[in-house]
Amino acid sequence: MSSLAENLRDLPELLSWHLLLSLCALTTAATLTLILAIAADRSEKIKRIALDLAGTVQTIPSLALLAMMVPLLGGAIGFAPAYAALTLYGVLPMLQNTITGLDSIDGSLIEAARGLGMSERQILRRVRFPLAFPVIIAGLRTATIWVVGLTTLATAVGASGLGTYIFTGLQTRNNGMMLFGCFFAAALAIVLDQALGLLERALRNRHRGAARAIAFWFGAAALLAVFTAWEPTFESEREGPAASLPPADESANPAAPRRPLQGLALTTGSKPFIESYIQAELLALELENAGASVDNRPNMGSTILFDALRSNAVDCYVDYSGTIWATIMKREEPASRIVTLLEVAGYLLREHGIVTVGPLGYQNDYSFAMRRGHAARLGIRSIADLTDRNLKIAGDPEVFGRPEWRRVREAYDLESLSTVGMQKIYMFDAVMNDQVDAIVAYSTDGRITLYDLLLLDDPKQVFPPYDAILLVSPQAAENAALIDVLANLVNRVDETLIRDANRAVDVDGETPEAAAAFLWGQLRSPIAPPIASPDGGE
Amino acid sequence: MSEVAITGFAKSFDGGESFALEGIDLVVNDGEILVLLGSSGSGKTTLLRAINGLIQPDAGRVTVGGDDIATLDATALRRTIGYVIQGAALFPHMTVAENVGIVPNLREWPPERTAARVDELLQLVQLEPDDYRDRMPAELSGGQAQRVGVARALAAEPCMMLMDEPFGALDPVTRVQLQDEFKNLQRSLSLTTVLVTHDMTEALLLADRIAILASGDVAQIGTPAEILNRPASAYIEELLTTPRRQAAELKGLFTS
Repeated sequence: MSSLAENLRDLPELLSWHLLLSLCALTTAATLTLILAIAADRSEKIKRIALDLAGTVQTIPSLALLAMMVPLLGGAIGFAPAYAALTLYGVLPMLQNTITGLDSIDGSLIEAARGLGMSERQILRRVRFPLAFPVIIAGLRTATIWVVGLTTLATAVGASGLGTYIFTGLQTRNNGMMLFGCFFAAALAIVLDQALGLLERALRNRHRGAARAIAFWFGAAALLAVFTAWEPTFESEREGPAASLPPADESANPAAPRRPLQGLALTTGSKPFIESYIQAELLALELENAGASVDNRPNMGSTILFDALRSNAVDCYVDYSGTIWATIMKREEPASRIVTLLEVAGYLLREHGIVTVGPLGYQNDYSFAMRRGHAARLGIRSIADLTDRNLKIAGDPEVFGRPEWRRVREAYDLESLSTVGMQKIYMFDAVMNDQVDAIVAYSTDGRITLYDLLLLDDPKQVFPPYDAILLVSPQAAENAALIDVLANLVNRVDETLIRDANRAVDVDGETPEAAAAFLWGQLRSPIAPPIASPDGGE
Repeated sequence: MSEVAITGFAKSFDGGESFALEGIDLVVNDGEILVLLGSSGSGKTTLLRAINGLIQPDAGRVTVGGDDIATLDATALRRTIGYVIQGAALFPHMTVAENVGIVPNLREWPPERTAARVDELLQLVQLEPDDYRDRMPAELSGGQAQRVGVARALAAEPCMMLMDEPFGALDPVTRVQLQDEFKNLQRSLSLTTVLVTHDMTEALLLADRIAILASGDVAQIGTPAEILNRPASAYIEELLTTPRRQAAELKGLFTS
């Protein structure tokens, strides 16, 4: 079980990154705002353009803005794209308030200032800025709350932060973890907001000492965050991943040949769902066992992760052949399992220099699932039996927008089905309570065996096969030792194993790390034979 | 030195279609109080603001101490001319001392000299420095704020004062008191002053000379006695009705 203690263990690092990312973005946004506001003060045209631009940025959904930054920054993931997007987001509330504040100064005061012999610059600095200060700070406080909140989304582009708790907690049905993340994100926003409020009051009332004290605490918190955020990195560089190795391995043979990746620092990542978390942890275990240190970026967007691999920002991760086939290669027609695998591997190498080390050994396909009794009553065994039926089918909202769904609907003439989009974690409850007749599930979902659901046949093979495939970035693929190590995982995980691992997290509340450790233990036990390759032969 | 000469002055606010002021010739003598009198819209404030370069004329020129102000640095010029406007317009984020010290500060006086000058001026406008120095403008009454406004204008030893309805927003008792005090102050410093008002009584009480503006022109210029005795037009006659009636009534009250 992932407990409060486990959440607390990661808190210093994740909170520090969250604070640093927010503070860096806010400081840059404030500087940008100041420059823009001064420029806008000199020209109505600049003012209009600056406000329009900032407003336009605000209309872009925050997640999209974050995702856009990855290709814009040449495929970089982590701090940089998150920082860029959050900075842009912070500018609008600050710029609006600054411009409004500067423009709303009583005209007679400006008249007096001019009459006393102040230059326009002196009026701006000595009269308008100080008088607009409360309004400017109000904008900064709004921006602070926005940015600290949005930083939780930065995990989607691979940046560390409290969002890791929220996304992972949501996907693994761990409400405690999710609330833990929400609580600290909210607390951080409130503390920063209140501190700015105190700073503003201290400056307005000329309590120089109090203002200095607050500024000091801001600096101290930022400095502490820098050290806390970087410390784990220092540690892993110093000690290597030895600490995470099972003790048996230590005694067996500590000699060099068993640690072919000693000293290598690698990055992997996962998408926001349980099986992807487990895959990333499994990779990390195998790589760390070979001596590498692994930086795992969870909860990244699907195409963001692929872009990061292509641009060498991520070294390796597990994707699905059918996903590459449909979303990256934009192929419409389904093909057999082996043809899909070969074409995908060829395409990735040819077009992107990405090396496909091989399949993990299982498929995670889209499948129609129903309660066995319900299906028997209706006489349904395959998707073909759904034709012209007035039934309700649920799936995650993404499914019904994918080209695969359009094809399956046309192939089996499923116009009469009504679809309900819902988060994956609610689908199973819906089908078990007969709120819907069927769901579009993933064949390796742990809940299929838990609830003993019937997976409907796909006689026309409309859904492409989704083999879990191990991908390595162009740069990392030059390291033959790395490929050798990763090859240990090829064709070793079958549907039963992955389903058990998924179920351990989804149903039993284990952490993805624990499930991956279980899986890895199974692979290393000498009794477990390599499973058969997709086409039946070795 | 501080003599002001305005010649052939014209100003339009609609790009030359009509002129708020046209063909104005006016001289302010050294050490005198010249009052610009007129109803709202008569251009009296415009003329005042032309003297320290807050408004640029469309025609004609303004000289201060013999120099055409168009050739002078506007901010430097303004730092040598005291400026007081209605309601004092003190900066609310600065203390009384900081408000009074603005121009010395802009002229980069050493801080000790500024501090000494601030205290001296607060005493001059009858505000006890130890009591008022560190107050914020929000803590002052209207009369006190206007006193600080006058002190601020006098701070850097200006060669002359421009005052735009300085006593306008005050209650009658405070107004009369401040008018008296200012008149004494002006005499003792022999400070050349141009003061704008729409109140004929105030003009008659304070002015050495009065220039009455009407329909964009100087309708009459003269000492209070000359204006009272020989008003140049029916309009000016009308302006004098109220002060005359008040004077007569007061006289009646005192003699009865």
